[in-house]
Amino acid sequence: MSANKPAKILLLVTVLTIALSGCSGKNKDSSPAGPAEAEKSEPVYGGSVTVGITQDLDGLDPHKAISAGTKEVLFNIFEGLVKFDADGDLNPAAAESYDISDDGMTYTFTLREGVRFHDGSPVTVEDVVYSIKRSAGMLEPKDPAIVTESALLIISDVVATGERTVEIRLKQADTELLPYLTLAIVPKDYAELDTKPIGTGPFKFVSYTPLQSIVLEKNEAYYIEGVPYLDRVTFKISSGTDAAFMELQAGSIDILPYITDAQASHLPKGYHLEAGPMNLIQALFINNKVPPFDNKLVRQALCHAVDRQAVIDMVSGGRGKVIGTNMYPGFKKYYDESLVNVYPYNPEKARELLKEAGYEKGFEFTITVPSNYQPHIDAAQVIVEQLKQVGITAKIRLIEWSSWLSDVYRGRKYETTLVGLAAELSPGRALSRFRSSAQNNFVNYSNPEFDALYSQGETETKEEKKTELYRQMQAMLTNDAVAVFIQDPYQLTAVSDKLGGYTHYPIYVQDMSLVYYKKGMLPD
Amino acid sequence: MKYTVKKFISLVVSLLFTSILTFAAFQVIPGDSALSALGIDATEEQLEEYREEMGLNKSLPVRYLNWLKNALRGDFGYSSQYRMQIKVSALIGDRLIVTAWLAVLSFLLIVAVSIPLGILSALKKNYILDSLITLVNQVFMSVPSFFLGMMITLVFGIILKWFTPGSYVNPWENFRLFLRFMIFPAAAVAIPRIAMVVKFLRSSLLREMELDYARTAKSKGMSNIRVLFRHVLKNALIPVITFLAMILADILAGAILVEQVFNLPGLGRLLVSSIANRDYAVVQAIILYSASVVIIINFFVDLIYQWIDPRVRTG
Repeated sequence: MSANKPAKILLLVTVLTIALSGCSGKNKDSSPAGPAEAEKSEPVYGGSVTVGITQDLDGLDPHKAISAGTKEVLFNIFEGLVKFDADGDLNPAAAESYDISDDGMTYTFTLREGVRFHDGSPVTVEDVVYSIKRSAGMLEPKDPAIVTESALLIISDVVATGERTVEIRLKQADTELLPYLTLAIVPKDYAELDTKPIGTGPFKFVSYTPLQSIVLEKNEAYYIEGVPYLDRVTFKISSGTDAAFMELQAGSIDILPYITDAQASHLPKGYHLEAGPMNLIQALFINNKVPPFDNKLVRQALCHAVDRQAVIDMVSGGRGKVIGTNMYPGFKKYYDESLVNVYPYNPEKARELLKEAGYEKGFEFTITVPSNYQPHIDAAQVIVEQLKQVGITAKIRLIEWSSWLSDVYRGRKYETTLVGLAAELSPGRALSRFRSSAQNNFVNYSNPEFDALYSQGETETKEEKKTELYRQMQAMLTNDAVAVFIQDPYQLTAVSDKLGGYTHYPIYVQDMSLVYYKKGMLPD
Repeated sequence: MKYTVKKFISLVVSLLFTSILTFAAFQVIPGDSALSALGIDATEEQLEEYREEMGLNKSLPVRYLNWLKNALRGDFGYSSQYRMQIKVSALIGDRLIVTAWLAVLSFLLIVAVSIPLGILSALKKNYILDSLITLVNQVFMSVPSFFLGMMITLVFGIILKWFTPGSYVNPWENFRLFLRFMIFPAAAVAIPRIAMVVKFLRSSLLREMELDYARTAKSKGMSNIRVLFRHVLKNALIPVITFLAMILADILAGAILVEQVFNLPGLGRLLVSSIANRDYAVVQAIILYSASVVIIINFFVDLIYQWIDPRVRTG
């Protein structure tokens, strides 16, 4: 069945610009603190804030953008029928309610009354139909710059069935389309999306200069009462983390996400650290078809031979959460915490397993790491040392990111690779890459049982049953040791002490609508 | 006249070669531009469609000729890192203004500081002042611009607070604030080059002073200063002009690292982000521009040379 269900497009595998760098700075004092402290002070309205970003936007048209760094910013301008909240749950946004048919073939949305675009015009069913069709590549003529999320290819038709109801019909049952209906609702036939974007989100677009900044202002007519607090938000584009951090030290940036571990240890006065899970699965991924790794015992031996907590301590001063499978702890409902303990650090056990597999004397292999992601390189170095304890000699091979894409990720020509897989919008997608036939199954994992469970989960409409299936699949990945799962690293953000309300999301988002100046802190 | 024509033909040939090389270079770099443009999990059909759309399937010479034809009209297509929403020419045009200003400001600084200092140093040869200048020169010559940039940001930006790092303002928004900020990156670009020019001019002057005509003038009782300004300076400046031209070409082509350090939205930063994103259209255009600047400036230097020193024409 997967043949007519092409592999999913997702975001960047390894997250750009993030660096939990260095073996330096080991202060344990900066535990996730933020919100509790922030709640003490009353929010006031007004003021403007500058957020530092280190990657330019790849355009303003929300249906064309594919970089995670762009979506993070556009989240403030655009909204979909539904919208993520900080717990990773979906809430109605442009729609006020929705209904998924029991067979999983039809989604019906009822639009919220009184939602307006930033130019004042009301959102109509025509706009919604147009936006979904545009994003799903169903409009003629097709705009080649629109890269359709492959999850949307399952849509067969979008119809306005009433003045306020829209029906989305699917080619085949899929109960996990909802997260992708966060796609931006835009005005029908509006031609200037790439220069003057108009959406329904909490902030309006003001201006954008490539390599410099994008400026937003408060949407007074936002449908949620009380937000946003800020009048103006500027996302300032810096040439890199170092340059951005210097601007933070000089006080020209108020919020700087994705700072490195070393920088976190040297925050200037007047700033505090907010840390939260990054929703990134950092793992030593193994090519399951290449000897000796085609032997499950060898893979399990690797898992026992790696001390994951030690890796986290060494590389990021303990700022990370050990994981045991390919699921983000952020998806609380689906994540199976117990899998962390399947392979405790145990060199003895690892040696036994190797002996059983016929590699008593150990063996040699290569870890391929993209050269532009320091945290992964650091982690690989720690692992190389740990593996020596059990007689395995690992060598690190650094390769350029684009070569990694074509050789490792697409070509699957590698033994092991240490990278991070970025958050997917739905838990099912996090597992989909392990189907035997998945195009993005770069670990070459093949297990008919897993495939069967996945197909079952895809069409399952009962939530409990689905959760159960997902947990079974996670356990299967862990038991088959498809990879040495290491950690979900923490994302570190420097925030000015004057501000409150900064919130971590389980997806890539900088939600500025919740940020506010604390009472008495608002600059004149 | 014949000389000029000859030089002009060689200019055109060099430019043509540069364009071929620039174009060819991107065919051997690893990495798939379609993949970078569409994201890592794009399907084969999507990739194929994209290659078709962008003409990536055609043969190399055909693509080169198409590209050249459009390039001559100033059309370099659309930038893939901005998902085909911004024209390459517009993107480069705006960044070029920043880089050009940086180049002009630092060049003015170089000329204004290095020539008087070089003369002073040559005049006061064997005095304390000369030794001091030479010493400071040695130090600054060996410091790379980007490091100097970081030091300037640290000292003047963060400690002394003479300027706010990252507070770049576009010249068309507020010219005064723009200049106030630009003076610091310009200094970072200029200082190591000032040191080089001073050293160069000093030795050039001293060499000329040893020549017969200068010695004769001196033996007739002319003062050192008069000999220098009347006779020696003009001759000593000829090699310095070439050197200055090289420096101008160098900084016009983009002070990449300094732009990174000061977060200036110039050509250098655009180049870096374009390479990272495999945005070939932009990279090709920038490299073509940089190479052309060097070639064209060299062309004019040749012309100036033969105008100053007619012997060049026959030699």
